[in-house]
Amino acid sequence: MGDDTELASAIIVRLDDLLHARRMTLTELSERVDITLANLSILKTGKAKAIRFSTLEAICRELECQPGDLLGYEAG
Amino acid sequence: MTAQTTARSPDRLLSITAILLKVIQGMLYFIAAIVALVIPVAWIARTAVIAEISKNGALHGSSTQTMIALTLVLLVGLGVLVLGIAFVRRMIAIVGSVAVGTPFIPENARRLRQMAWLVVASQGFAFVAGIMSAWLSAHLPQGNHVGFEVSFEGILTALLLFVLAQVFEHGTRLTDDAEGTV
Repeated sequence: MGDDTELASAIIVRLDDLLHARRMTLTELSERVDITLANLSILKTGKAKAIRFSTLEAICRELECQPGDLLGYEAG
Repeated sequence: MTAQTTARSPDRLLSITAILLKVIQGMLYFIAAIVALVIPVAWIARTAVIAEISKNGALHGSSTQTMIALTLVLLVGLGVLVLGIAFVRRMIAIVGSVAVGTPFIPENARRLRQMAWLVVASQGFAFVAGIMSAWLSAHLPQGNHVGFEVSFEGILTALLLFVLAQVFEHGTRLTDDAEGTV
């Protein structure tokens, strides 16, 4: 809808934990999945408004995880 | 989100457009300044101006009416020039935003809408001048100096600009949506 971007999304991104588990830095991941560091930062800090399936696929491939490991939903 | 244009031609076309627009803007400023100067100067030197105009035939009415007619023609011309300058300035701003890769911003939709109204206004000026032209050419024996006419192209241009403003608003919404997409 293009409304308030300042509202915290109920979707949480667990990129930090997954990177830590794989002993990978954000920079390394950025190189492997061919996504800019800026975009990955946006994702990591929960500022992203949408994620492409291609991005999701690439991250899950490199971090060997499921989308559900990366993304979560917390109501309220 | 930056638009990395790899095509050479659009870049060059954009640069040429920007340069042309700046040249046109300069010319319009120059001509407007001259017209603005001519008005008071003509009144100061009105006897000389009347004498010059009378060479082409006897005045219809009083010399004051002739001076007023002349002033009105110059004012309408100045008005159209000012509108033109405002138009070109906005166009330059739009081209600038395209050049830095952010064409779909709310400002551009606003600029396009203003440009549309400027065209409408200049058509209005032309219309008024057209109405006055009978009176004007009677008092300016050199013939009809008033070259303004309400044109079909002018109206179409205004409509086109209104539509473009809507298009750019839509583009702004799309860009906003895409901004947060990774």
